[in-house]
Amino acid sequence: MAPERTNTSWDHEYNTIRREKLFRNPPTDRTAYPALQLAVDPHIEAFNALFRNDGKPGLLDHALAEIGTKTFLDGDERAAPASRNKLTIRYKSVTLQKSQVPPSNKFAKRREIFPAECRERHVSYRGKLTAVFEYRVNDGEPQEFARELGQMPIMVKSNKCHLENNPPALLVQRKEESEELGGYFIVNGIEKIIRLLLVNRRNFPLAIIRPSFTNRGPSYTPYGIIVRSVRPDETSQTNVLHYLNDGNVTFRFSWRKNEYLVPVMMVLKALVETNDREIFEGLVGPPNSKGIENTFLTDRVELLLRTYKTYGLYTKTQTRAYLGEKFRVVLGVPDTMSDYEVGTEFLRKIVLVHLGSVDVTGEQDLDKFKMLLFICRKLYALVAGDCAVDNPDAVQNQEILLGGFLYGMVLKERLEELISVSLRAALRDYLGRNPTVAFTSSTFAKDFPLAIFRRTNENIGNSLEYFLSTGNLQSPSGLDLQQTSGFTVVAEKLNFLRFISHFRMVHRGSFFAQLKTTTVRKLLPESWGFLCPVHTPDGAPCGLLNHLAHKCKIMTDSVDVSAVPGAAMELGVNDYSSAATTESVVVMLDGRIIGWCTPNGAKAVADTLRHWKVQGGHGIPVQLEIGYVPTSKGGSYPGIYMSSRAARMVRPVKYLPLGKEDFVGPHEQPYMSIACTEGEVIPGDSTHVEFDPTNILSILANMTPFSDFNQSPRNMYQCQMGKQTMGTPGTAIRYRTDNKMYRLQTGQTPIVRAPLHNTYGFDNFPNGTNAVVAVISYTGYDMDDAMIINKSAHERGFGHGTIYKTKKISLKDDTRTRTSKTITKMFGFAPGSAVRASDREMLDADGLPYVGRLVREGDILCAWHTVSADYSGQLINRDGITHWERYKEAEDAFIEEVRVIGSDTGNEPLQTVSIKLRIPRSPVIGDKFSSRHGQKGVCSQKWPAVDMPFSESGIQPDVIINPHAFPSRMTIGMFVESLAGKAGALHGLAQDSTPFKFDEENTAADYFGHQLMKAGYNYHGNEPMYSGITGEEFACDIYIGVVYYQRLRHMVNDKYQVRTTGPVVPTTGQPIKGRKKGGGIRVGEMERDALLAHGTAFLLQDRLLNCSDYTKSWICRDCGSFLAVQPTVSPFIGKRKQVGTVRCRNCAMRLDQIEGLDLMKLDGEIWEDGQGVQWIGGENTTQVAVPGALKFLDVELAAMGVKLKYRVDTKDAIRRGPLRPAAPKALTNGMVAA
Amino acid sequence: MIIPIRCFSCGKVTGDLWEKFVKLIEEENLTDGDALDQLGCKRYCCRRMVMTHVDLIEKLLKYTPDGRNYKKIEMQARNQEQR
Repeated sequence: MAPERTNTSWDHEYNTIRREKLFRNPPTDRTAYPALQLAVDPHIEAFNALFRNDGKPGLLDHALAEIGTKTFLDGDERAAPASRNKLTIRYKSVTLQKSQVPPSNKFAKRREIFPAECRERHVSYRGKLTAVFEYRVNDGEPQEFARELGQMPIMVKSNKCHLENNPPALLVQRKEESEELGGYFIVNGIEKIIRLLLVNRRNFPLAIIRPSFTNRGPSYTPYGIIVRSVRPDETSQTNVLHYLNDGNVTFRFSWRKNEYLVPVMMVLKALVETNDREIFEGLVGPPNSKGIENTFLTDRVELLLRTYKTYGLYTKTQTRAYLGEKFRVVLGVPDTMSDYEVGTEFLRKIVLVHLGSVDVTGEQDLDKFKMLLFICRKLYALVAGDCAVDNPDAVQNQEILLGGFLYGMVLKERLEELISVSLRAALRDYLGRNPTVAFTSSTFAKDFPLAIFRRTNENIGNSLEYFLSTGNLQSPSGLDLQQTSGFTVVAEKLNFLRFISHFRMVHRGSFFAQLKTTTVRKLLPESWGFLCPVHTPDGAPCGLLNHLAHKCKIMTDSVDVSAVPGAAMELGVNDYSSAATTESVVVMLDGRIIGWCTPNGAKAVADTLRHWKVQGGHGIPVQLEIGYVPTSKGGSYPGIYMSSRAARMVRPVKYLPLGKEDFVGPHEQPYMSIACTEGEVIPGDSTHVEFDPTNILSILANMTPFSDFNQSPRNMYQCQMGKQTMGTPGTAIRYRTDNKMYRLQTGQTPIVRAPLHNTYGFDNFPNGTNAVVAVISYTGYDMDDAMIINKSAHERGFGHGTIYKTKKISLKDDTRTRTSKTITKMFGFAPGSAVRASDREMLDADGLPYVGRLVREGDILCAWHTVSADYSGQLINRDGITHWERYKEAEDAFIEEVRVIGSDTGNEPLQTVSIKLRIPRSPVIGDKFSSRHGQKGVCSQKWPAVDMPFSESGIQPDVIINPHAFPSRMTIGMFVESLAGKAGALHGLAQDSTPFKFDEENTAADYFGHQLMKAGYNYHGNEPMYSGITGEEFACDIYIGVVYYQRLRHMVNDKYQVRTTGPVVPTTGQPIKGRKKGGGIRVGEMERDALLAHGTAFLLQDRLLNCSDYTKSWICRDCGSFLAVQPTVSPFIGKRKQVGTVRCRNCAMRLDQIEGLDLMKLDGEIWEDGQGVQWIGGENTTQVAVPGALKFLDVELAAMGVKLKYRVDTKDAIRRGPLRPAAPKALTNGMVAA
Repeated sequence: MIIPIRCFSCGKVTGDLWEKFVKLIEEENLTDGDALDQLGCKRYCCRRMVMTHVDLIEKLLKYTPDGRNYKKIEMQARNQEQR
């Protein structure tokens, strides 16, 4: 009998034994938590779509077809193309290998490289990318050759990864988490993911009114239609139609970051052989239709047709040739192409590419023609006010750009660049150097695959790695995206909640982050069920960075819709179309018009198709989105818009007529009636009902217990704080080398949790502790969100955590550009060097630290010495000096692991070590904690247990919080959790905390109150308690229960900043900035204002002067200048350090310049400056205490020719002109700039 | 990770209870509450220590270098046989 398959269904219970068994024996068949994998799957599937192994062509195959062949000519550039030899080249295939040890390594027995190894070695997880090229000379025999295009980073658990479909047991063996999810890349040992981006919905004409459209030129109006048209390889080209004041329409597109405008008539005429009547009827409708009565439309269409006459282009051939002539340079086509062919190429590459972008047939051109007419029709309707604008910020008109697809787009563009721009340059260079060589010669045949290709920048793997590690897009076309940076983020494994959230994160684009208007950030009702309304950060990215609802799926592949057009025809879809939407509405499938039908017919068609798709068996896939937009007065443009392609969001709901699962997309949802619960179903109206009201919440938002009892912002805060919790990042910590990793020592599973806690396997990654919490104002140390921790609980390990830091020490130059082959440094003590015993005992004989050793600031981490090769190639040390690498941080740490990292080839001496340090962090005063209800607080005291209050059963709380934390925040959920936690602990129950389970009749307080009563406790959760200090009973009962507490990663040890004196900025003398460097904290303007307002003059003086840039400086009382004073130099005393007298050079007289010098008559002491020049006078100097910045200002002003004079005393004033009354009394003591 | 030696709040020794607890609910099919009663955990503070403990050490032992864990299991098995 086959062993039973691993059970994958979970409830909210503890399942202790089942969990233990999974811990001890990871399943060998499949994971027990498929929901977790499902959450990450869109990322992996999108990557898998690049190189498919199921027989269907992958995205890359489509891309290669779209790139097509490139043509090059040899010989004289001015000669006629016909007389020159022609070389055509194309990609035959591009393949990616799994990650392997390079063949130059002769030592490795196992050739695969697993992701864990890459993490540990701080390298990238990548495989060899190979392309097979096929070229012909003068249409001769095709020749083939292969080139390696570098190492391309591979997504973990994708179909190019060794871990694909590995069961948990094998994953553990391969040093991964048993629930390893994949979906990310490993770049230089760091896990990176490509963010999901919201982009405009594909192949759908969006009606837009944007005032900036008028900037395109005179007579442009704000009206426009945007179509983001997507090719089969998932690259896109946006087409925009603009409405002009006079009724004309222009077609706009952007190509290689430049914008071009073409009259739409020209595009229409180029697509198919047509005439004005056909276009008129295509826009307005047949002569007897209602569309004719629309004079607004007919007037404009007439003008559209009339104004085009000026071009004098009538046939398809003429128009294409005209377009080709204009766009020949822009498209960069070879000279061999005729204008007509270039025009065809223009239509293929730019116009509505979703309807045909490779070997476009006449039928596809007709589709494009029809679609373009429809778009014009919608545009005219928009202008007339018959059609409402589509909101591009609503999920309804958006889809998701998946990381894998974006990665494919970057790869495609690199491939195209290589074969066009880069190869062209290499060929020109080669032909320039060898003018006699023709394409037909044998020398060329030999050189082409090797010498010429070597000169192209064919290392595509590197540029992909650059893209992943920086998130910057270096692209000549911009890939039809609005941003060039911020595409990737580090998938931080701070705790598991944060890690999983990265994969469910959807970003609106960094372009919108700079936008001043906040409309894009608004939570719209269209998002219901697709984006979580709770889980978005507060602050700068609020509303731009959303998270997918946990049941929302992203389609990563097209579904088979070959049966849909036929079915639609069967249901009465025909070809009769008119501009009047009361007469006919469009039926569209993936941006292709499959027909038209009457408005009433449309509803029937949509309903029937939906019934069929849920029922199955009609060839209509259940994931097909049937966006039925009903006819309305001035609403959205009606029609049936079906979509089957990838990158859509879908979510499951129950289809009522059949009671089966249906998938709903964001475009159709606003026009559907989906009841939230079974009880809310309206007969005759509701067609669907939610499976669960909590389906709208993200994974994290679902983890907040009783979130329906809380004030809504508190749930948002919890989503943030859950991600900042010091929890369990994973269990394969031993094989990870993250820069910083946080770990909680004794994580527990919450008593109060939703069933999803188990479904997502969060017990593998505990994130907090069940704490006994008393809500009482006890010591005064719990004011303002401070909390008191029971000192004994702390000593027994409550909230104890650890930080792991990894330091990579490399003796190689980290410059990527030139990798020096020679080894100049080695680890270890230099042979024969004198080493102090205290230094010696810090390290082992190999110069590396002992595992387990305590290191303090300034201790030695490892030793190295320089080496050079001797006559026999042996590396020997010549200088006998041992260098040290020291531990620079102030906090004591322990050496946890020392990793010795070899080179790829395995024949180099040790050059890199990676040392993992462990820093124990038991909770200290100032560390941050929070419950799961956005109730954060800072530990203010560790209160001795003897003085803690106790209850009748002898329980003392672990944590005391202040009752004032509740009234204004209204986190009732926390009260309920406290009740439920206490009852759960008493009865040995796991409490289900799913929101929306209780109502006014059956309240939560009552349910858990009765449980408490059963256990012999107070119904309300209060207990009589006694003061730990006096032993007397408190006047009132205290609310005490069990609440799950998280320890947040914000700890004082990382934050405290103290300074008495320390480093200063040399120019001003003020303290430097930065905690790490021992700098100060700025007393800014507002702080200053506060001190002024309080009249704290001494403090103000102390902060702003004495502790900052207090300087004693000499000043001349006569001329009032800091700059003219100088110390005298005695010729006798020499250079002894002595505070000499200081004289003013400005007020002194140079002895040798005094005419008729009579030493006897001189009054005063003669002094000498450093150059031996003798002076007399300038004695009236004094020392003053001033801010250093003042002197700096003085110097700066002097440099600009502005002189400052300081009056040290009012009497010192140098006056010109008559004496004025003295300054007010108050100012006389201070210094006043004259 | 490993069950704390003492209950955080009241200091009752819990370090020895985890294995007994697992045995009670696995072999005698007791509910969590009954098993805790048998173990003598009366206060809810001690009960939550045992009941909500997650024995992550079992998972961590899977990642010992050179199969140290498997050697240990073998050794234990041998000792059992000898007895």
